[in-house]
Amino acid sequence: MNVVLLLLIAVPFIGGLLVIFPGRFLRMLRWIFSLLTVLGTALLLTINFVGGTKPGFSLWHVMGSANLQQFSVSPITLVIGAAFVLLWLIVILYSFGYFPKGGEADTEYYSLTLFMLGSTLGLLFANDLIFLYLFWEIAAITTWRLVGFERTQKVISIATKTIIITFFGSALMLVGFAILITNFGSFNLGDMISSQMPVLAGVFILAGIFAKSAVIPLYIWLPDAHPAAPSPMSALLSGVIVKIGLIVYLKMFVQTFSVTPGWNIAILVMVIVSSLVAGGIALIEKDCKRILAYSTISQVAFIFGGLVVVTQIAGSVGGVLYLVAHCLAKGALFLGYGVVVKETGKRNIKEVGRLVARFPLLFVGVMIATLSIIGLPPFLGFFAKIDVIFGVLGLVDVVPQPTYRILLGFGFILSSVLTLLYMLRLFSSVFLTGEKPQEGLKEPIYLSVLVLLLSLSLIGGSVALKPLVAYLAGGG
Amino acid sequence: MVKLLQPAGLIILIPWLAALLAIVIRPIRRYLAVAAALATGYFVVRFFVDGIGQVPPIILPQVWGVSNFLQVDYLSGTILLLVSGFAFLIFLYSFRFKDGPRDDWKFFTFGLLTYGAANGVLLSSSVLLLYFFWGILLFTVYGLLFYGRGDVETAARKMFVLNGVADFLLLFGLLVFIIYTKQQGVEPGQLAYFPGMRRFALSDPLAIVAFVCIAAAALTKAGAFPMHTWIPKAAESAPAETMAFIPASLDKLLGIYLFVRLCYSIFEIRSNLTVQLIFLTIGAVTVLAAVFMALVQKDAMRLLSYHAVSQVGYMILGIASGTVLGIAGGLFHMMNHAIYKSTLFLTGGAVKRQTGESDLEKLGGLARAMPVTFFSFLIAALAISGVPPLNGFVSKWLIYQSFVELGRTQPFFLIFLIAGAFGSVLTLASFLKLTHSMFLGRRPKALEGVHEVGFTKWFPPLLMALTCIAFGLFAFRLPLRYLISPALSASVIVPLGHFSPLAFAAIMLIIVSLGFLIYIVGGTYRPRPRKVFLGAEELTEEEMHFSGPHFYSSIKNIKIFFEFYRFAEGGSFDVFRYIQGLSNTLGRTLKKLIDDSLNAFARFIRYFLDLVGKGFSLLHTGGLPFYLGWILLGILILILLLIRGGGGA
Repeated sequence: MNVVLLLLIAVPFIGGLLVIFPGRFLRMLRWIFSLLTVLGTALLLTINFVGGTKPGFSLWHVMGSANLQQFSVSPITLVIGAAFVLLWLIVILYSFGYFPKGGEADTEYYSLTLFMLGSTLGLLFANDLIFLYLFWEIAAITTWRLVGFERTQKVISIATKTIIITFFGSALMLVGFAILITNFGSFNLGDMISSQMPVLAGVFILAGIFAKSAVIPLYIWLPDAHPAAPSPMSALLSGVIVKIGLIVYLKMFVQTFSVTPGWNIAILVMVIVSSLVAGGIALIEKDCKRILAYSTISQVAFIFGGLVVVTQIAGSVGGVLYLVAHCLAKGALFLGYGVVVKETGKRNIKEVGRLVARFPLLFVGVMIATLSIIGLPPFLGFFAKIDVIFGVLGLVDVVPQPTYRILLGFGFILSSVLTLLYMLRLFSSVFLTGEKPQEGLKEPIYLSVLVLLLSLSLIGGSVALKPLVAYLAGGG
Repeated sequence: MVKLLQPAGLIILIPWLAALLAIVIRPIRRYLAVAAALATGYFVVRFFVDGIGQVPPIILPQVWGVSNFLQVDYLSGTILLLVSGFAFLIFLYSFRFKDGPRDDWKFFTFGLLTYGAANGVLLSSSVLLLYFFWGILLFTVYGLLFYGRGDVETAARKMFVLNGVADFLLLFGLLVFIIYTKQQGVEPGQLAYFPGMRRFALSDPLAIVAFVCIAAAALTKAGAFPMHTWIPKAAESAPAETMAFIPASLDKLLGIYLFVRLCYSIFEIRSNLTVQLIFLTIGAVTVLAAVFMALVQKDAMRLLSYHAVSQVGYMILGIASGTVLGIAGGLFHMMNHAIYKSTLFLTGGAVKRQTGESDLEKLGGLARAMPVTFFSFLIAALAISGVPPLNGFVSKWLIYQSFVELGRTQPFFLIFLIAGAFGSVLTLASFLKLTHSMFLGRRPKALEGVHEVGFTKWFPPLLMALTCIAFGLFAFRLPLRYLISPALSASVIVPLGHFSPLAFAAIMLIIVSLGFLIYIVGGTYRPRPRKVFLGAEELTEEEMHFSGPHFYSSIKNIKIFFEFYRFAEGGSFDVFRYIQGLSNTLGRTLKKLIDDSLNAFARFIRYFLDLVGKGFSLLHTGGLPFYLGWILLGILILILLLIRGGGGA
């Protein structure tokens, strides 16, 4: 029994419950308490990193092989978890400077944020269908509350739209899970390893994944939800919540079941179409947070592409690497543009301009994240993106004809070009061109430094690329 | 990290380290830049002194089975030498003993970063490493373009979009190339460093895709039509140093380097006539379109920048001809062009600095005031126009000859020869105008007090102008023998027919001195003033002044050219605008077609659910009898079912 792992999942939940009490007395206390919880989680995660192979643990046995663990760690999940916890840490620190003093709903905010952390980590380490579903829905409910955090009529209706669409997906996914459970007589993914995915179950589960990870046509909740949420929440939504679907995809379609080439082609085509559509729309949007939201949809395709590649080419890490890179970079972008929105009060990129003179630190932070999303060297996004595209070009077993492989690869290149165009448009119209900003704008140093720190992790990732890749590839 | 501390690694690291220091320490950044260029140059010269083959390669980790080295061969060594030379001269040119403007860190930092990355591109043995440095260049040049006056953002953004799109094409081409080489069973993804590397024919679709994508990116870097439009835009805002460093020299060197590698070391361009003709046409169109635009420019820097585009056409023509002679000519032309175009930009910058003007209408008669600058400018202008025996002539001559050679079997190749020659004539014409408007004619009143620039501003152009002469006179003995031939691992390059630059120079010298003699003896140097009347009114000297900028305005009025100019000035050749327009249309269409309809569908579903909910709520009246009625109904149905079930049993 791995107590550290159990604690890793339990601590955020306990923290989330307990944060309610100090919050009654002092605003500062609940923030400190949340921060301590996340720090504790980070510590527990680090303990999981060091040392040799870690056993998992089981809570209660219902069905299937009794000796299989319900929760376990692997290098891939640990690295993803580390990125998530880092983002959370920055987000909690950022929230302190972001919200105006004396916001009444703060207790709920911190509590739900910690619940969200716990459910994400739980989902990340779970091998059991029931727990996967459970944590998936806890995350969905916290998302719903936090998207609608402002509690205006409009925002509430957006939050409702979010939960309805994702719940539609997860209800279908539950049906898929049920089919699997009846077919295999087990809840545990370990009992189903390397068997063929039943088609019907696969379609249902994929619907749930696509709804959560915003693939066409189920992405429509995302461009509304991201701008509506408070900026630190947008960062978590885009950096983590969207990735939940991808993690389940990784667990089901990559690590457990084998699928036919037809599946992979269908998935690749769908994500490329979704990526191109979202990238195209991002080119004309005017709201900076909406552009970032569409950008998330378009970048998710690369992660899917990378995960498809892993099924064919053992040791390929592009998908996971891009998941991490996108989580950190998009987090930094949402937090960075969140500062802009908070300070200027404007979200339309035509109404703000030339902020580089006022926000130099923020400028550097956002710039690094932007370049990483575009996929320029030497940032982490570059290595991940190039790995994904190369992997797709080399999918000989999935697509035997070279012409079609080239077309698929070119789809990703086209999507990268769109990424370059809309990211540059956003970046240059907010920071470099346009009208002079109004007088009296001062850089919130605290927030800007946090954004910069998060961005620097992208450079750190590429400096430590070699050991990182070796670690990821070593443990499958 | 430690293994990078060898010469091959140091020439990347030294400029980068200097760049980092240059941000922080303001007073010494100009010393740092010059020193870094000197130190790097020292290592590059050492490569040649020790022998290119003796430089130990730096082995970097393998990726996807592609081996990565930092390594030098003759081709990259030659270009490294040029890059360091230009970096040194241009940093020297921008040297000031007093502090420069506050934001000149942009120039020094990004200039040094660009310099280091360019060295990295040239040292890369594999396509992956090459792309890594190439991608860094995109960002550093973007930063460099922000140094200047006026609308720097537009130029920088144009550059970023055009080159960024090309970079992703390059990435695609390189990845396809790796897959292709894996398929062919050779060492994958190498740029001709690997022993046993052979040239591939352009027959496989993979090979063609790889070739076209990489070549498109290389030519974009070099600034070929129609991806050139950021260069004239940058000429308006960027200082002369930046123009001389990036579009005039570095971009050309790198783009053409990659193109030569592609056409000469990796693929055999002559194996596919269609591809070859496409690239030759791009070359010819680049020469002519840009030179036509140059003819009618009224701003010195913009005019020069169009020539920076037009000359790329010659290099493309030479290299895409696929013959050794043509490739040698193309390479030599790249080298020459970098030298004289930098000279032209730097002297143009010197004039702009002294007069505060680059508008040709307001310049004139500066030859006496700035003699050294004038001399350097004149030599470079003659060289770019291809006047023998200067270097520009020799390289064009080699390129023309390759087409003569090709034309013997396939006469249609002569079209490109004619296009090139025609472009050359127009180049000469536009430089006549430029030289006249800037240095000859009457000096406007406003420019009375103008004097020569300081040493750091006249020395670098002068040195380069003298190189133009030397490379022209001793073309076959120096550059072609020691730099170009080894780079192409060809035996000594001999042109067809007989051409002796020295003899030619001697004849030219005799003719010119004869002319000078007649000028002196005939006493024509003493002008006899005559009064000029127009409509019985005496004209003042002001009114008789003939200004250069309108030399060729009449071309605009010729029917076809009129349409061309109207098109060009409306921005119709600007790919950047097409990209913008296309992306707008695409975005709007997708939003209307997909996003809006999906949202409408979601709204419909929601409306429908609301309706169903309302329907059910009608059933809940709250009255007890109503519910009792429901319960009774339910019991009735149950009983009926049970009775039927029992009956069945």
